[in-house]
Amino acid sequence: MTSERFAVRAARTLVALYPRRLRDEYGDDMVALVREQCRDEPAGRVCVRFLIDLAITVPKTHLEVRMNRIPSPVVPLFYMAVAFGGLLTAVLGGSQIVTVVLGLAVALLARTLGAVAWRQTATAVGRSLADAWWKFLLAGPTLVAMVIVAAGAGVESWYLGMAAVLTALVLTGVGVVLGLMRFAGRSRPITS
Amino acid sequence: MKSSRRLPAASLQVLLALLEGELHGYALMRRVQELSDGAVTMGPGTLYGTLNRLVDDGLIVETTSRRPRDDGERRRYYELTSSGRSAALDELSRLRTLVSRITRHLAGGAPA
Repeated sequence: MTSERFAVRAARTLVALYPRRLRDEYGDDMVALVREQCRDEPAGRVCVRFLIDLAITVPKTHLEVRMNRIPSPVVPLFYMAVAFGGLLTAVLGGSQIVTVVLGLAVALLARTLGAVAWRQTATAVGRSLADAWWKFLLAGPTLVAMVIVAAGAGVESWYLGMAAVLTALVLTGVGVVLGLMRFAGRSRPITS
Repeated sequence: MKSSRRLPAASLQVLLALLEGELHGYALMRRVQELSDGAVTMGPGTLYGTLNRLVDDGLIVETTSRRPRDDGERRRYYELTSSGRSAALDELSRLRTLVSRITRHLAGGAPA
């Protein structure tokens, strides 16, 4: 009887390790299940089984909750930035064939990973980004204008200027694509 | 709607256990154990995590409030929805086909 009470108390405490939603919905049922198991089996065995199950299912359920959250655009944007970096390296590599090939390879790989990551996160984020297409479209020319102003003010940095112009091109391109998607109604949610 | 997605093992066990009708958590756990000849014992986390997913996917539904219970305990009952039943039967048929193919292949003997 004492060991049964201990098992139930331990279960009640340890159930708190599950994500809130699961705990609120099924926490009492889990404890009740342990109580019922203790009526038919030795409490020690029930406790050991519960602990093993806990060790497996707590990280798993937390992971599931994280994966089901509204997706963040950070991962695809990170890959796109890496792809851009790779492209920039290839362009600035000039006559060094190794740098050009390496830069292009990095750009291609990161672009592919970015596209895959984007497909998985494109539900809510896709809609809001597609709605903001005009911001991307404006950002490109704004950046070019800033480069021209900086050059006019006497700032001399060829690399920085090239990087800014390329960034402006990418932003404008993204704006055009998002705008087309927005108006063609192609920014539908993508389910995995 | 027929889903091409393969069911995880625990989900399949629960769906198969519910094929005969509604059950509450503990009875479901016992039924899974019985159907697997004692090979599968689900812990509370596995069982309720699976039930949670199946409810979310619309494959099972809670039936606790449908009729008065006289078991004196606050238990929640679950049963298969029509898509849950069809998912369970589809999976059962897939497994039968697989077993029959392998049996036929083994009976035929591997070429020397």
